[in-house]
This record gives sequence, C-alpha cells and structure tokens, in this order.
Amino acid sequence: MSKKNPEVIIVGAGPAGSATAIRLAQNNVNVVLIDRGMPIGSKNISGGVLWGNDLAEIIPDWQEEAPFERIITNKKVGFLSEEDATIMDLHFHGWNNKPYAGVSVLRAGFDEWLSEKAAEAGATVLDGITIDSLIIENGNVVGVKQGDEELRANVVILAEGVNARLMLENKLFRDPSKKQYLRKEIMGGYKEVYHLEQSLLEERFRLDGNEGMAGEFIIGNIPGDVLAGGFFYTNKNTLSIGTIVHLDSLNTGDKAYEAIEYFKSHPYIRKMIKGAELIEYGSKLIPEMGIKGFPNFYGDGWMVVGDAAGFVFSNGLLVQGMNYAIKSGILAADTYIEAKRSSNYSSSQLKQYEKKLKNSYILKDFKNFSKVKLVTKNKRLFKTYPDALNGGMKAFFTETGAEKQHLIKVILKSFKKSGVGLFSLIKDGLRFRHL
Amino acid sequence: MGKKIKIDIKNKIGVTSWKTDAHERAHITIKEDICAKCPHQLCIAGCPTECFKFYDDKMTFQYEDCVECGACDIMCDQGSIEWSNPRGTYGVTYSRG
Repeated sequence: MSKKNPEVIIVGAGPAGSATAIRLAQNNVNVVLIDRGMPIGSKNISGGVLWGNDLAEIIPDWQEEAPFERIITNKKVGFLSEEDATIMDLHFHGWNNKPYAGVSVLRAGFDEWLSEKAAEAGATVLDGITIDSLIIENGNVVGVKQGDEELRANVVILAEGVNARLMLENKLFRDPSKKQYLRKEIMGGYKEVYHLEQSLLEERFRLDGNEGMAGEFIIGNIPGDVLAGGFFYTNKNTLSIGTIVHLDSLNTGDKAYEAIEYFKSHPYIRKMIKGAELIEYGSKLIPEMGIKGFPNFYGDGWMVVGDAAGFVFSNGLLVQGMNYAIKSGILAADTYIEAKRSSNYSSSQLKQYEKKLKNSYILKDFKNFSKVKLVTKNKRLFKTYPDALNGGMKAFFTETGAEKQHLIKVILKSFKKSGVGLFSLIKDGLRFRHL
Repeated sequence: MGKKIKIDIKNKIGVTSWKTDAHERAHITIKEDICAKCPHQLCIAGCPTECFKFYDDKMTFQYEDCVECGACDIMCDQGSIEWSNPRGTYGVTYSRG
C-alpha cells in the first residue's frame, strides 16, 4: 500500500464504494478505493437491475458508456401456484427513452467499469486486497490494516457489502450487544445465469433491439415452510434467474438452494430457459433489516454506504439496491467534502450524513414502508394466496358450460375454499396498503 | 404441493470459478464440538453450495466451494463459525455476477 496517507479510504468497490470514490475524486479529494476482488467486480453479484438515474449525478452521460445489458421496458409481477400463473404484465414503451427507468446489469463487468471511472476521476484504485481490520484509536477510526501494513486517512468509508465483516467485527450497530445479523433481518439470494443465443432470447421475450424484460414472482409451489420469491432479468445474450429466500423460514432439513429448482420447474418459467445453457451460479445475502435494524451510519472517522448500511428496498413488487448504494455513496462523499472545511471528522460533524440520508429518498422510503414486512413475510402470501388467486382466475376464465358467475364471486369463493378465514382475509387485504 | 425436487448442487457449481487458497488458509472454520450438539444445524439449510455436511455426528465444512455469501454465519446462532474474507484475489471469482 502507498506510503502517503490519503484523505479517505473506501473499503469495497461495488456501486456504493465506487460512487463515493468518483464523487470525492471529482472534488479533488485524495481517495483510495480498495477491493478484495481481482479483477474488481469478480466478487460482486446481484439480481440485477439498476433502477433510477442516480449515476447521472456523477457520470452525466453514463447511459452512453456503461456496460449495461438491456433497457427494461417490460416488467412482469405475479403469483405462481403449482402449475398456474396470474401475472400483471407492465409494458411501458416510454421506459426506452433516457433517462431509462432501469437497466439490467451483470455486476462483474459493470462494477469493474465503475471502478475504472473512479480511477479516471483521480481515485487510487487497489484490487486484490482484503482489509483485515480497522485501526481504531481512542474510539476514532483512523485507518485500515492488511497483514502488517497500515494505511491511515481522515475518514474510512465502509462499502463492503451486505456481508460486512468490518462492521460485524467492530460491532458498529445501534445495539452494541449485537454480534451478528438475525435471520429475520437478512434474505438469501440465489442466482443462475443462462446463455441463450441473442436472436432466440429476443424472440422468446419479445424484445426489440436492446429492450429488456424483468420479472418478479411469489413462488407458490415450494413444499414446506420455505418462503421465497423468484426473479428473472434478460441480459444481452444471457438470462439471470434466481430466488430470494427468507432465511427465517428455513427449517432443519430444508435447503435454501432448492427454491430455484421449484421456480424453474414451474411451466411458466421452464419455457424461458428451455435449451439454455447454465454458465454461472452464485449467491449473495440481501439486507432486510428495516428502519429499526439499521446499523449506525456514521461514527468518529467513519461512514457506511450501500448494502453494508442495509440499503436494499423490497416490497415484493419493487426490489432495489444499487440505486440506494450509489445515492448513499454520493451523500457520504458530500458529507466528507463539508467536513473537510472544518477539518472535523468526528461524529459531531459526520452526523450530517444521516441528515442527508433522511432528506433523500433513501431513509424516506424505508420510513414510509416501515411496515412492509407485514406483507412480505406473510406466510399466506406464499402458501395460500397463489393457489387461491390462480384457482379463482382459472375458474372464471374456464368455460365449462355451466352458468357464469361474477368475477368477484368466483375469486372470493376460491379464497374461501383455500381455508383462510374471512377475518384473516380482511386483515391481509388491509395490510396490502403497506406495499 | 408437488413432488419434492432433489438436485446435485455440486454438479451445478461446476460452472462457477474459484481461485482456491491453501487448506491452512481456509477463510471459514467451524468448531466441531459445538456443531455436534447443535439443535438445528441450520447452516446446512442456508448454504448455497452445500459446504456443510453432517455425517456420523460430525459436521464438516468444505471451504473450497464457498461463494462467500455469509449465510452460514447468520444461520448459526451457536457461535461455531469463524468467518473471515479470503485473502485478496482468492475465493470465488464471478465472470458475470
């Protein structure tokens, strides 16, 4: 590591870390961005769609040069039961115009590019280095250590992702007795990437040019108590397909990685990957700690951004993380730039970061959706409603020669048949307002 | 619910790449005595690549197939798992991600 001390050290070069580095370097801050992957990006994985346009704050014309895969113009959201599916198909042609609503990305290439943008902006980017620990003196974070080597800075920014070892090791939580995240605060993501000939993929998913499709589903065909959602995203000539499993729904004997097999076995999904070749499998955790479970966002000499701060938003219909990562990185960088004016890097100054988070969409979203787990962790959403909904829809749309009934009556009959009491049904119906 | 699906996860992970460090550098270690008495062994349930196996009252951990997600450390509430990142450049290497 370099002998000359930088002003800021960033641990982790995902979207959060690289965005922080770019913003800082653009403001002439001497910053070192360190990642354990070589090349950078090789440790990084997500669903993944980058929603929103936060990147434009640091790379105004990012759409022109970023190695994204496809522009999402079609999103499907639905319920899969044993072999049936009821799906809402959203086709927004205008999403094809800049700024795009969302683009599919494969993180190895995308994150490598973003780290190169940090280097271009003037950041020192170091790959292949695992930071072992933080240097803490009198309660202040003053640098990082790798083996016997030390690197010191005014501020250390933790952008190490959801599996935040430095955060865990130094117990940087609101509750100092907390040693690890709880099962109810974290979900497991399991993903496969399939290769499909580009022409076949475009035909199969009805994509014009570089249009892309995103799908998110409640999976209702998994036996036992396992609660999981499924997703697919079209890339240029690959398909990302995976599951998100609630870790607190797993019992002894379950295997979280099996959820994706049930998802792929569903007739609706099975046809998507027919003839496709599996080329990569991977996994990452997804924070779901909510507003009460968040770690501290700052302290004396440090701030935390992205997944490591818990910034993934999910309500079953929307799943977003990279936009929050980029935005939080920009806000942490701006906090440093302000702190530099008074050379005060203690928590009394860095608390401005939390203020910025509160004033941005980041903490507003988590506050406004603080009760969303009442829906997303509701067993009936996975185990009862997919069957009830599909059963009702099928009954309504199937011509049997019998007298027709009104849609609402058929659906209600199907929900009643599923064994859910009227009271639970009303309660769950009301809970849907939290989405 | 339909038929239970069983798959060979070890076959699936053949498509993913690793740079494997020496055995004494394993980034995760477990305390076998704790695992032997564990009431749930939920590490097995959470692991995406079946690194944990329990045979003959003994838990084994295979660090070579680990994708460094951290699920086991969350599933384990018995204090058995010592988790650290692999040395720089080692471990899983995604080419898509």
